Amino acid sequence: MASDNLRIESGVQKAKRSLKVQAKSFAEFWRRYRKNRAAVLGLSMVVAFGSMAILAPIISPHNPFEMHLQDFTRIFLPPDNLHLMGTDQYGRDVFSRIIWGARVSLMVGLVAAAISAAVGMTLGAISGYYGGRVDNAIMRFVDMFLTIPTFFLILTIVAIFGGSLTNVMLVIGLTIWPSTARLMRAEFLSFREKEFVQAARSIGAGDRHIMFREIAPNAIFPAIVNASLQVGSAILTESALSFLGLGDPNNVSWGFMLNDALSSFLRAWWMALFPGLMITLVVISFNLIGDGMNDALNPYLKER
Amino acid sequence: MPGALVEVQDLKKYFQVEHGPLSTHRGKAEFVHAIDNVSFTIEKGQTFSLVGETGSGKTTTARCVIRLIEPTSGRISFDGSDLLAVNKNELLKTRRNMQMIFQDPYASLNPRMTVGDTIELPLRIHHIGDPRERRSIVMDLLDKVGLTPSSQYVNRNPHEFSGGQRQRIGIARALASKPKLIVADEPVSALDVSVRGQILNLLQDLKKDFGLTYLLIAHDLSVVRYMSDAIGVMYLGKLMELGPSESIFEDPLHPYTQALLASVPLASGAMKKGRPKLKGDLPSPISPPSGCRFHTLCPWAQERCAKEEPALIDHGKGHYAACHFVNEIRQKL
Amino acid sequence: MPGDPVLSVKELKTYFFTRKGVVKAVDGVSFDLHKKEALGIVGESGSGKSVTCFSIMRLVPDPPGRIVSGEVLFKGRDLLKLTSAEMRKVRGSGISMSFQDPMTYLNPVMRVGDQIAEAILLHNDVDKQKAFGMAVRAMKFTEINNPEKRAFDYPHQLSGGMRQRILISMALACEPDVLIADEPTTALDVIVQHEILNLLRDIRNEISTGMIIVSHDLGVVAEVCERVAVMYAGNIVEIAATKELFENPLHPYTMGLMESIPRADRGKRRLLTIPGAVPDLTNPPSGCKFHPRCPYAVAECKTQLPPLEKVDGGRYVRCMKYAEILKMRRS
Repeated sequence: MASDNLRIESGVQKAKRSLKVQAKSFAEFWRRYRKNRAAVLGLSMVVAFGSMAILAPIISPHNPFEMHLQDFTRIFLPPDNLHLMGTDQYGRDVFSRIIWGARVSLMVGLVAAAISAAVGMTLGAISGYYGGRVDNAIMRFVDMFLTIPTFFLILTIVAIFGGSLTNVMLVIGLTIWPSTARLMRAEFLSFREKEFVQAARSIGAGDRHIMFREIAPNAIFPAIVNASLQVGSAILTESALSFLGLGDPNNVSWGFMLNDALSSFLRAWWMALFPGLMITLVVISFNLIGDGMNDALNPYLKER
Repeated sequence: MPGALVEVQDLKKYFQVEHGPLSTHRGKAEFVHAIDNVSFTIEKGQTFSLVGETGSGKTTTARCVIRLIEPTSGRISFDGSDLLAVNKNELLKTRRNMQMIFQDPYASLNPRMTVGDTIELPLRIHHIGDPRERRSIVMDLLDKVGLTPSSQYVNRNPHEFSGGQRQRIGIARALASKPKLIVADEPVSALDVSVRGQILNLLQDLKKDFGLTYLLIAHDLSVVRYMSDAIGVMYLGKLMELGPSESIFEDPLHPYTQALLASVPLASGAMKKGRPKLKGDLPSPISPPSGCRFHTLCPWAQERCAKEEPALIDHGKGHYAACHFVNEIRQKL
Repeated sequence: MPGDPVLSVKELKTYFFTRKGVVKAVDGVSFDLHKKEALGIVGESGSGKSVTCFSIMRLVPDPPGRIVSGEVLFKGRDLLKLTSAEMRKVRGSGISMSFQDPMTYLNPVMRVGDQIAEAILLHNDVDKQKAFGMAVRAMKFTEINNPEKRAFDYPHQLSGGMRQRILISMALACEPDVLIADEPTTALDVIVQHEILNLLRDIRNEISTGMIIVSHDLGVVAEVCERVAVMYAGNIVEIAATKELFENPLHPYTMGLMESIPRADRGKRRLLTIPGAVPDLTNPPSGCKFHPRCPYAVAECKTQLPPLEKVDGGRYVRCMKYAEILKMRRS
């Protein structure tokens, strides 16, 4: 009898239950992710860099901006006990600059990827769900973005509007979203015709419910994987901009450090090696995370 | 008509064939004649089946009846009122009364929603009851479809269930809003053979307990014969034969129906009439044959069949057939 | 059937080693097939019927699957002991297989005639022209209209029924001794299914190839085969001549299956169903795998897997109580 098993739920209980269900699927995802050693390595590295960036004021041995101009005893010092990574042409401690530079790189990478995800997922979802003329219009818009050489667009905008950190983050985010949009659109297109969506429609669910509650929780995975890969590419782009001198000179950025190293790297190899190495490591680690998530999510998707 | 729950009149659904901008077909609009002037009635408490092969239009017809697809033209009346003339709000209210069960138990449930939430969805959309009442309705439904004790199942995800159980969940969802009509699109064809019986029995029991009316789409004629009170046989978008189920199985009038029945494995008795071998290639639904659509494959076809399309004529006791030569064929067999 | 069997499977066991456990897909299957004989293998999902066929052809993906024990004697040789190269020679010309869904088993970018010719060229020392001619002849044999023209078509230009005929042509092109047809009609409409079954019957009458027809549809198997083996959870539970199986099933599973299927030639009486569901093969029931669902089960059934017992010439049952059940039903 149903009354014997009656468990009338309150709103709070329902929220708790849904959290439990989500925790279960996350635990499953995490178990799969953990198996991939490279992915775990990538995640650990990002956690390490992230901690480095957050704790910069505490762990940085010197002031990264402190210059000792014309003091020949302190400029171009090779790595030693006092300056673990040496000093640059202005006598600034390279190690401290690396630590503080992590802030800029990670922040730009994450915010740009977030902007790209927000714009791309929204447009992709609308495009894939409604189809027809809306889809055509948005896709032509996407094509437009894809035909413009992104990097030159960024260069131009930064050159015109200045290279402040905000501008850089915005510009990068607003130019890399097309790939996310396409992925989201493809998923929405494929899910639109699935039977459980038809079922919801036949029950009387409206567009909003179907898009957000039925399709989106299923369609979001490729876009999330793409977003993590985009963090890496955003960091690379920011470094390139700073390297060319177009970034924010008031902040410490690994790209800028490479710019500084340009003229002197033959005699001060540490000025180029360490920033270059950091950029490489951070980008690799985000790529590893992206691949790891992809592999971890795929068999999970198969269980559908 | 009294007692009729659904009345379909002159239903047409054409799909426009899409061609790319560089196609040679440019300028000429082409249509797939999925349904072409179909009319039938479903009585209250009846199980009406649409039978046919791929391309017959039976699935499209079912989806038009619950307005999952918009018909090109025609009239559909549900419970006395015109289904196609209502506005959005009234349509939402009407949807409470007609629900659908889908074929693929592995695709008809949202993999990221719990079973309880899936069944509760119709209740939420139609604002039936408050959260507590809804929960108890859901538990009750799970018990009714055989998934007891419901507390064990209600918070699980679909992938933890077998095909037969998922189909039961789909049925529970369809029952949630207490509908009058349930459209069952191939409800058992994706299930294991030994599970089919369980689901078919369940559907029969629910029909009695809840006073339901079924529109059944199935290609397995054994299932059709077991479940149906009345049948419509469709071919290439048109109804070839229409009438009481036993009448059609005992005395199929249309050559296409005869071929269908004779093709069922282990057919015997009246179903084995003639075993005519169909010749020719399958026609295209974009430019269907002139006159009687079946004439290109029909072993009895005459000149008249290519020129004149036969009308659905009553050959007694509500058994209709669309063929010029019903009596002549009857005599020859 | 006179003479030695052309194919003899003995205690075949194929297991799948997965993260969730060992799936005992085929757990001791034995049967014989003679020339010109059509044997049907019937079972639901999880019964192991398809894996049995793939095991005979040694097409089981390894990992995670592996044939752990048993013998597959083809014309005297144990196929499981052959090298890969030797097995390749057998596939297609000695034993060949046609599959369930023609669309996925045909190469979409190759003309169908060429695909059949490919099979011929692999086993015969002929030139391309001759192979193509043989392919057209194979198509004619499977009753395809205008085979000379159709051979130049691509799979997507053909109807479902024709694609299935192409698959069968491919399987028969090298005149094998055994043809295994895995669900030959499942993806097809009723009328086309009937035509394919007619074709299989014609083939059986015309050539001496032994056939194994695998299907979940008892009716399909009954239309073509003179003997039927019923499989459940990795074992054969009953083998009998078709007529006998239908008129007098001995195993409770077979009986339950017969009662639970709606038959167009039977009335509307309520279907008697088998309770429960197909067991989890990583953790199958002890003893007789059907016992949890069997209305006649007793204590013994839980402890011992019954052997496949011979009832009389050609008839076998895997049930300890079949004789008593038969008596019960007769009274």
